[in-house]
Amino acid sequence: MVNQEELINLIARCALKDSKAMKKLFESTAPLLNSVVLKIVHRQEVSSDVLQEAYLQIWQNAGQYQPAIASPLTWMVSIARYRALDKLDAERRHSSHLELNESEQELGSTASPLLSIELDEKQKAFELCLEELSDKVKNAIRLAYLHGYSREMLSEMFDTPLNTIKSWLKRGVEVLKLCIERKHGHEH
Amino acid sequence: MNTDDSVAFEYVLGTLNPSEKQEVSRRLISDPDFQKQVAYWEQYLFTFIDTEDQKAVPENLWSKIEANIQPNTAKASATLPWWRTPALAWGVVAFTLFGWLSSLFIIVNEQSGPAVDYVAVLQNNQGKPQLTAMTQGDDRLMWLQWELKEIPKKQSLQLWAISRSDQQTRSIAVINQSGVAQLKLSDAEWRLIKDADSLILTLEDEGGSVIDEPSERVIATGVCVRLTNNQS
Repeated sequence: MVNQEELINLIARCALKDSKAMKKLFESTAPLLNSVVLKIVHRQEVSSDVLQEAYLQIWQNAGQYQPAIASPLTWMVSIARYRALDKLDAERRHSSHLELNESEQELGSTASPLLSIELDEKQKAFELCLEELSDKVKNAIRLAYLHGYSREMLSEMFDTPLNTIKSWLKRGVEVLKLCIERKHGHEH
Repeated sequence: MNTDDSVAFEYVLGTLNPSEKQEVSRRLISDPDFQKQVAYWEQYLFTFIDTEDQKAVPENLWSKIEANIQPNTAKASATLPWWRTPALAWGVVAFTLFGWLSSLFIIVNEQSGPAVDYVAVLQNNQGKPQLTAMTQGDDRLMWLQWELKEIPKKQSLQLWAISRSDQQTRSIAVINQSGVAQLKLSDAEWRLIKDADSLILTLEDEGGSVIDEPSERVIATGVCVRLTNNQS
């Protein structure tokens, strides 16, 4: 099992272009990143393309990773998510939808976790802050983050005008920010 | 809470429309405060991730990624930065420090030798080289080649080294004008360079950081690597 500190060391070695470290980083994290990306793009073939782009970006930018700013998994998952969202946007623009019904989604085969990662204190507090949101707003945020739902898709999902969705998200971030600041003080 | 928080939040969520996202992408390059706001929400929204929910990847995926990251493949040269091409990968073996080539590459070599040279190519957030720093032998000189054209008035650039051994960041030099081709290093600065994992170039108030710590205005960063004379 690989922990956060080991991931930081592996990323540092990748910055020195150590391909063995990159392989170990991939082996440790790819199943998680694949799960994250699959939830957004739904097909393994597309997820594989996304992961190739993501890991290349991780390799090229390993020297810029700063442990003080983000945990290694947060950094890597963010890269993978953004690449998946870009892929989703491109597909939507070309009207070849990646939105499939549940029976068509390729959910992938479960892998045994190779990571030993726990949420940090801030993230645990954030879980509590989420409870201050209404169920609709919380679910809208969850669907957007985990499944790549756009404002338009959320509007359709909740049968709510687009402007209301925008208001939900705006109000949601206000509530979350205030809650986080109560628990941890101002960070910026 | 300001509007930027809302924008940063929705950027991380992925709910911005394409033009909004494009604007954010531009801001992320040049606005360190906004970068921090995005990092803030990335950290907290990560809470949604179930790290035990993992899906096996196809068996051939690593080999595809490996082909992208190895410097001697044509495919890699199509995706890596301009200065890292297969031809240059072997060209640097014959590289001398008496004349600058128009581009450099980096080789990592685990063997130490009696005359170890160091090179770092410092890139900005877009991956464009801003400064190349090199040392030769033990003459305590650092050679600089600039892509960065000018420094804002009443400000200085400062070069920092991140130590390989203790991860601390220490100042190497304050530079008041770009185009400085050579730095004479003290013994202490020389040791910092030899121990450096990477270099950072920051923008500081005129005269350099008064608190002996880098500002958040990072112009470029680059990994330090060693070159040896016995490359095959």
